[in-house]
Amino acid sequence: MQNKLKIFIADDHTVVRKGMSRLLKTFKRVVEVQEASNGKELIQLIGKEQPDAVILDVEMPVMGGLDAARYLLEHFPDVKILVLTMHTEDVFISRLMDLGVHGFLSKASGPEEVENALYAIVDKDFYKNNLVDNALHNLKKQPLDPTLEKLSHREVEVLVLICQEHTPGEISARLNISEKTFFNHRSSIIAKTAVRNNIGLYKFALQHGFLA
Amino acid sequence: MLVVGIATFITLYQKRILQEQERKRLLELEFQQKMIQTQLDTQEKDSIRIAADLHDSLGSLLWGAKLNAAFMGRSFEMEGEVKESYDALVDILDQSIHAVKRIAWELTPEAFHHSGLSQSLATLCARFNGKGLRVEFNEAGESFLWNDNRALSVYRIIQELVSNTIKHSEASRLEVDLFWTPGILFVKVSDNGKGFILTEKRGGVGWWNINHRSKQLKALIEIGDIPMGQGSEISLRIPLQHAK
Repeated sequence: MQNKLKIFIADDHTVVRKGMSRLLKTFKRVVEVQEASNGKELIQLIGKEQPDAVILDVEMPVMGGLDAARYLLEHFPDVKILVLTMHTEDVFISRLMDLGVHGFLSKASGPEEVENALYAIVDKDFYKNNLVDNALHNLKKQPLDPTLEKLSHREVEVLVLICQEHTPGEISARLNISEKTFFNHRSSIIAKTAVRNNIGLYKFALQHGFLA
Repeated sequence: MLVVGIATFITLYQKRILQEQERKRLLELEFQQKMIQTQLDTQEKDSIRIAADLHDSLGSLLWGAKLNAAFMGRSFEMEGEVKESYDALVDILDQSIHAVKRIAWELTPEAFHHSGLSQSLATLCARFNGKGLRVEFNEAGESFLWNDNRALSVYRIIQELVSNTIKHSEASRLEVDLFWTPGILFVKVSDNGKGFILTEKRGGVGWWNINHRSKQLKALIEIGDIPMGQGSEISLRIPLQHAK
């Protein structure tokens, strides 16, 4: 487990940025925090050194959170993205989810939630909370796309465990495989389901009835 | 000959005056309609602007305050009255953030153009449901994602009716029913409150909005004839042409 987390935050309100930065430093696993006042600044920072995760505001001048997220997902796929927003309606969350963002929090969350969300995106690649569930609860069940290559029995097991929010370490132990094998399975599932990351897998699993 | 000539002249002259009057009347009517349109458009734009401002400025600042409070809460061991006061502070911040979100949402339903009329009304009803008032939303017929400006106008009318009921009727039940037919959407907003006296309560800004929006929609609005004290029922018949 990665225990020395480097986190970057982007928010145009100085009070929010400073407040978040202070709060983050009280988290046990966070060792470094850097700040940007918009998406462009954030990307410049990341050009120099990569953080483990970024906390993104959606509404920012110059370059907003959506554009920044799109850029990061394309160029720095290992950097996890947590979006903080006032706009929590399902359609907005859905759109961000499809983009491949790893987690969402409403700008009303308590410090524990921020901490849990941050660890979840780093450890499990996604943070499942009520925002995600609400955005997916109207999801229509769909038949599997016949053009997609079928998942093997083992891959279905891995998929379900990922969706139940287990870490790679836990899943490997449970299935008695190495972490490397786990990641091979995961890459294969991601390729077969044509999604970006675990939040995409979660949506896929719900949509196709892999989860009860 | 002369008499006939004068008579013809007078008749023609009168006709022209009447025509001129009619033309003026139509112009005035058109002008009035434009004024009303502008006023309604301005209202809508103001709502969107204020809601966005509330979210992005006030909301974010309160969130910043909450983050700082969270930091302090994690930095000091507090006890007794200090702890109570701190918890109250965090609680006030939480309530303020929720109030901002609620007010912004009431001003302009986030994502109306994505969610459409039915979904937005369902959310509106769900939000008012509870606390001594049961609010139900039902729809039947072939509904579709109606999300243009006319749909928003319908939403505004129903929102106004619902808020009238909540403010004045002392009702314990409120129902919003939609019935979709190929050319017409029927809407019924009914409650079991004390009803209202037409002549007294129809002067406010709310009714001005309802009336003018209905006129624009070419909708028929009908106030159910229910004996005083036995609730109220308002029906709308909204043509759906060009809606799809």
